[in-house]
Amino acid sequence: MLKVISRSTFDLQPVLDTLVETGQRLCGADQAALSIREGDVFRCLATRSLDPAFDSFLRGQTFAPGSETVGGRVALAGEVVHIPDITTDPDYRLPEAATLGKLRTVLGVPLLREGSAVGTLTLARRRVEPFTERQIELVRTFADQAVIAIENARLLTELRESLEQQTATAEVLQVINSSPGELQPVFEAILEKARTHCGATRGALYLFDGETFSGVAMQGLPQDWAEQRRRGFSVRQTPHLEPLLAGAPFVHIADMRLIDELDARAAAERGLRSNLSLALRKDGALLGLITCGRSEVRPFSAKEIAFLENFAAQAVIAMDNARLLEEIRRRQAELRVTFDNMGDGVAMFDAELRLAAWNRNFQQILDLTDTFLAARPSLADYIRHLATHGEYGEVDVEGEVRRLLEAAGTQYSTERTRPDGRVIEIRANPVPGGGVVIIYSDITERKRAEAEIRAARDAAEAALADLRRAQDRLIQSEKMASLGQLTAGIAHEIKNPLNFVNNFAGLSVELLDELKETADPGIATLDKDTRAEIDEIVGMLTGNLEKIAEHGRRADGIVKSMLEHSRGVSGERREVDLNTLVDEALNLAYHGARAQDASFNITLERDLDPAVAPIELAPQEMTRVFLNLIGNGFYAATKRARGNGEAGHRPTLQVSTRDLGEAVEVRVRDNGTGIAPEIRDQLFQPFFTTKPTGEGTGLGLSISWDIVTQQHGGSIEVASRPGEFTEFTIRLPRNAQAAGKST
Amino acid sequence: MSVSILVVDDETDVAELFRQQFRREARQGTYVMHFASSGDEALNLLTEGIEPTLIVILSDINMPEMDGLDLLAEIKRRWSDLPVMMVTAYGDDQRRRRAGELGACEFLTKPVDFDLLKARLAQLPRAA
Repeated sequence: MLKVISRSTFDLQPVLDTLVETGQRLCGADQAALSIREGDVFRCLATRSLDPAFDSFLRGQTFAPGSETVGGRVALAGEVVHIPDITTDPDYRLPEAATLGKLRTVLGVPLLREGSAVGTLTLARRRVEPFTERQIELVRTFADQAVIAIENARLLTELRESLEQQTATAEVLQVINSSPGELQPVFEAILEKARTHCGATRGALYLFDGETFSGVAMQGLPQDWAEQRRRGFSVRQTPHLEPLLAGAPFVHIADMRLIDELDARAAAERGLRSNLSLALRKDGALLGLITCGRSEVRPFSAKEIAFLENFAAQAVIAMDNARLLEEIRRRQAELRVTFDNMGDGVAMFDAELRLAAWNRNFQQILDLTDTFLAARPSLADYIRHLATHGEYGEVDVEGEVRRLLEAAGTQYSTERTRPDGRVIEIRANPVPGGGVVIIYSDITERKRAEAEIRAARDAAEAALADLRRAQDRLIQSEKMASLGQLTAGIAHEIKNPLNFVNNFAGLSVELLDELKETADPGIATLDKDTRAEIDEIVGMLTGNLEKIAEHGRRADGIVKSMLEHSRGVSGERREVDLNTLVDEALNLAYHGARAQDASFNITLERDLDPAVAPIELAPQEMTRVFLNLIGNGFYAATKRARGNGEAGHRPTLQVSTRDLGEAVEVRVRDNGTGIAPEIRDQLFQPFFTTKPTGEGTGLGLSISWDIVTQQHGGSIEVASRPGEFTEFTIRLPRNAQAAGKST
Repeated sequence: MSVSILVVDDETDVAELFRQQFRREARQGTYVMHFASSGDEALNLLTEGIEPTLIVILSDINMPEMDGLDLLAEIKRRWSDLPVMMVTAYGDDQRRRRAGELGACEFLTKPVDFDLLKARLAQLPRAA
């Protein structure tokens, strides 16, 4: 028995046939039949030695548990049923058994599993001859073994089916792998496996987009029908498929001719009879369907349907995998295109630091040959290649290789000018798993633009600084000018009352003399003491009036200077030798100082540039300026010598001239007390003086400023360090006519 | 035989100054001093007639209302032979030139140099 089972591992029928035969033999029956439970009914699947007419009647016949048949009674009771003569049994309702099968004595034995009948074995005799107890016992024991045999066979069948399914799936997967990204072979393979497994001669695979089913694989369909199906159809054309949309796993049509639909009729006309439509679902959504059809009316078995259902689930996964693969492939292609079209050059070195991937721009930016890249050089070889081709200029090649290899382990960014003059930016990013990605950007244009912007900015800043200086000068000039006007106004206002003071003071001295003359005879008559007192008072009055006159003259001098200042400069211009003019002013000032103070002494240093050709200017005014500056220098230098008593300090005054092309320069430098920074701005203001009262009017530099800047269009600047030196620099443009302002 | 001098100045102290400066000449009867503190007053005095004979007018230029130059023009229009000396604190060329064009015989700057003034006066014809 087990031999039989193992011999026919994958088919139940031979097992059942053997069981029927053995059962008949064991109890000496003329005929035997075996039925197996299918749900609520029992179906006759194997017979032995039946009359042909009865055999064809019985085979495939089903019966329910009940008293009408022997099998029904066995199934109902789960016990052995023994009818000595069916013709005399009043409850027996299967007349064909007697008429067709010519049966009399019948024995029914249940095939029990866990107490319930999974099948029945029926043994019969053509004559009335009841089975012996021994025979019944033998069959009962045999039935237990039969159950085990059937069960084993069923398990083996299931195993075989499962294997088949897995093999089919594996084959589909193999198709997917062998044609990565291409869906068509996958569709074909899925359909092929589904169709052949359930013995369908024709089939199709459709994809569903929510509206239309489009045929993507057709097998065994007439040409025109295949074309039509490929174009697709809506579910509205095929109402019989609506359950699929509602969630049904499949729609099984035993005969398409019975479906009253245009499409169904068209299919039937082209030979489609039994048809199974299986839903392909992913996460509940309908993706498509597989149809398997037959050219005859032969409905699909539950097993076939179960297999296909299972397979459909696998097919969906396979299709999905194929779709994902294709997507990856497309994405890869897109990435490749993007990679190659990137503005940057990119090179990737793998964990072993070998060149793994690069793009076109990388090759172009660094002028690398196809041959060099195809060899997949190591990072070290790559750096060496660049170094020996002068990429880094004159360097120690191996030193550079070591340095850059070390740098590649860290994230860094740098810029470099290539031998061809292009500027590139290099960014290295280590890859987490090892390796490095190096990105090269050609930033030549950016650098140039930046340089241009920088230059433009510098120019703008310089212009702004110039403007500020000019503005400062303008403000200074404006201040000076308004101060000059104020000065003139003040001078005029003071002049008249001062005239009265001076005139009346002078007159009073005269009047006092006349008084003394006139009063002398009278005074002479007075006593000595009174005379002395009168003389003393008159003497004091005279003294006072003289003092008034003296200070009046001083005030008058100041007013005169102020007026000269405000009147501006009207001196005529002529071409003069500036060096001579400076030299004369120096001599004049020196002798003037000596005349005032015999002890005055100073070292004079001249550095007069012979290139200073004759220049047109107002010589008288300019001499005043030089006298002023030189006089100030003398004062400061000797003041320092006197004040501090510094040993070794020798008062010195340097005067130099220099030709500047479009202008000339005169410098007057003393090694005197210097000027404190906080008062430097006030230097050129009228009445500003550091000299003690009476020694300076505070107008010298103010007048000099006007002469140099207003009359000659030049500039006058001062540089000084307190306790060390003061240097005035005058610049006069040669083209004084245009620059100068005539006032 | 005395002659008259007319001094025109809006500052009244000028009159006192001239009086004191010319006190000897006045005492000796050489000059008789007349004073006017505005152009209008000067013209009124001239219209009424000054005794003894007026030989010169000394006028300040800088005065409110009618200034010295306007006065000069008016005097020269009506008494063209009368000598006029202009006195001003502003010794600029423009005024000097203008005064000359209008017929002033002298242009003096303040402070007035009285010695020089007296010398100039002595040179004037003691006419009429």
